[in-house]
Amino acid sequence: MYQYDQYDQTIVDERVAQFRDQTRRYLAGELGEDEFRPLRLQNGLYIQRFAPMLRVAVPYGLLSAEQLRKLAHIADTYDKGYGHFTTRQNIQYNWPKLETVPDILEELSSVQMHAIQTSGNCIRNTTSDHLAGVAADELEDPRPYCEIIRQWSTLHPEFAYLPRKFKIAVSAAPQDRAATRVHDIGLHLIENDAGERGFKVFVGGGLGRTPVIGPVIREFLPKQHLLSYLDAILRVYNQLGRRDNKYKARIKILVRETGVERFAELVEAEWDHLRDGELTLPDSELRRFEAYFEPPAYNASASDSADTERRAANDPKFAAWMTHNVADHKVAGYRAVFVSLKAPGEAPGDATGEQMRCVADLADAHSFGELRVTHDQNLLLADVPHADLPTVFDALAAQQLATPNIGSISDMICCPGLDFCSLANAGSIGVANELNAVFDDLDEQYNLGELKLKMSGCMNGCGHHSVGHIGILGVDKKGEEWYQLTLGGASTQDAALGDRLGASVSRADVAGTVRKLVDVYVREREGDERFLDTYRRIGMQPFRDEVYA
Amino acid sequence: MSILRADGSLLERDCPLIDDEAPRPDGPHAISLARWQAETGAPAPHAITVSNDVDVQAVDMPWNDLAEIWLDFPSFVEGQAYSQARLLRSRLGYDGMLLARGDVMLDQLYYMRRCGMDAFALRSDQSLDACRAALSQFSDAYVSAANQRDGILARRIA
Repeated sequence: MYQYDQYDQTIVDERVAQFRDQTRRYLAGELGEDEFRPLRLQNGLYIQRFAPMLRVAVPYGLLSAEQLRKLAHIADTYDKGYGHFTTRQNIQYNWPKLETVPDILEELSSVQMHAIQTSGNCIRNTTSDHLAGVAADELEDPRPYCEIIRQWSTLHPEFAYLPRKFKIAVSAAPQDRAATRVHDIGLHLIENDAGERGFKVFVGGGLGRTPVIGPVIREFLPKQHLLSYLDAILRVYNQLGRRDNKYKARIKILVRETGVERFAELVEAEWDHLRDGELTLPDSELRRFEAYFEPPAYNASASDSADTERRAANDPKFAAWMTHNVADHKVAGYRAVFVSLKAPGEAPGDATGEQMRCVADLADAHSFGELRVTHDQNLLLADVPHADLPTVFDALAAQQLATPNIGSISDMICCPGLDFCSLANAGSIGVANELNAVFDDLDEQYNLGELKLKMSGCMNGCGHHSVGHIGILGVDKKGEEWYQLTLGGASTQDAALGDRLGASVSRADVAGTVRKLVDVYVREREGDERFLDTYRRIGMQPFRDEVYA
Repeated sequence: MSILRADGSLLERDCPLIDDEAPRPDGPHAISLARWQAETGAPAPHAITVSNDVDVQAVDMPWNDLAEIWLDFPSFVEGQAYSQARLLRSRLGYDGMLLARGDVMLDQLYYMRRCGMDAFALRSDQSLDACRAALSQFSDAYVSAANQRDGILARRIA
């Protein structure tokens, strides 16, 4: 993985010193609430319902075991012993004390981490494919480009006060596991007819109250021009994006109001000036970044282990975990292991300090000392020898981290909701628990296959409800929590926004309504269709008839 | 109101902003960009004001006839003038003074400086000493400053 050089470390250290002084001035009354707000936000610090919330950046979701141990230490020392992994592959702490945040940032800098630009109207953490580097279908590892974007965007002087937040995602595989089409900029690493590598550039996707699937503005951008082209997009947005209404300030609104073609022309005109300038990335520099992401020292003679197969044949629990939580690897004898943070009864994405240390130890012993955060709010040990799977399973199971439910209905995405978030209209964690109670039979979950259920406590859409196969959105009706359901959303290469089922349902009826939707699917499905496929084939009406009969 | 310069000194000069309707005085003064464009043939003023919705690339005027260009931050969250400054420096070749005015506070100064602004009309509640320190809050940066190939990204390649 990337290792800071002296430049990177200096910037992060100086950022900590800067925020320490800003916090001191705020606490001393020298800095007003309004002035402190954008400063703390650009360091990941929100003021939430009960306490500040600190969001720490996990660049493109990649962590070392040492970094995860530090996150565990912070959870135990400065918070209530746990953290919450997010859909942007970051981690949030819900209970830090404001005056200790500079100390937390200093702890982070000691392991090459930070909270820079994890909030505020600036360029946020760049996200990517959690299977980067190990997926058989990828063209090449996208993470070197993510790191290049991280550095370019960090403290970029021109783009620190944008109209609104700005999110970039990079994918290098035909199977889009990074939800790139619902980002402000989505980058697909592709090869053109001439065999050159570059990016297909999507701009203006997004979730929130106006969900949009991002359109293409450039079919092929040679990779050496990545940064100058990003500069051009951001410069057009910074000058023309709306600032009169925060709900119309995202770039998706600018693209829509300008028209995709015209917007693309504006970017190209700006890029004409910038291309071949100092942001051009020579091959030597690309190779330098790529070298940080070289494959680990796999055992060339590794192969699948007969002992592991025997355990699977004799232990149904292990076999179920193998089937659902273990993914193929491009290297023979290795697997990628999902660490489920979706145990029934637990808030989706939460992990205790003890659980984090367990995963860190497993990473050191069985996965070359690294792990990833997935945008589905799980963790991933990417490079586990097949022979080690029983050991890894036993250790995870002892920490309630081996619920065999990856990709199933109980592997739901869920925001913190009304329990923690000051924006939320409705609870989401409680609803998640009720859904888990309804779908507590793992065999039934397996029978339902891949079913992406995503839930947000308000229309800001942190739980990605708009792109859930089943989406659930909490709304406020005269002080009561109600829920709007959508069907047919997807964030993958066939990205689509979900369609509204109909009138919202009360809190008490959410789980029962999802039950009915699933019953329709089971009744109507053909062959091995997923819920999404069946919905696309038969449409909304059968579902409406069942729910509103 | 203090006007801090990039070198830490204070800018001491009298340069009133003249209304579009009022007659222009003899001494140094500032007028709007629109008036400068309209009064063809008149001597260039010492300074002009540029509102933050102006596309500076579309303005065909001899920028370097001006000693100062004033860029506007009606509120600190409105960041359009960062782009205007970079364009004036790096594309339009302006080498006079770029002055930030409006809601200008300590914590924007470092970014403003990197974008090419070199004078800062500080909001009245700002501490001068703290603002001086803020100009060099970071000893290094990834992206080069407006006029200077000095960013880490460029240096690593060079």
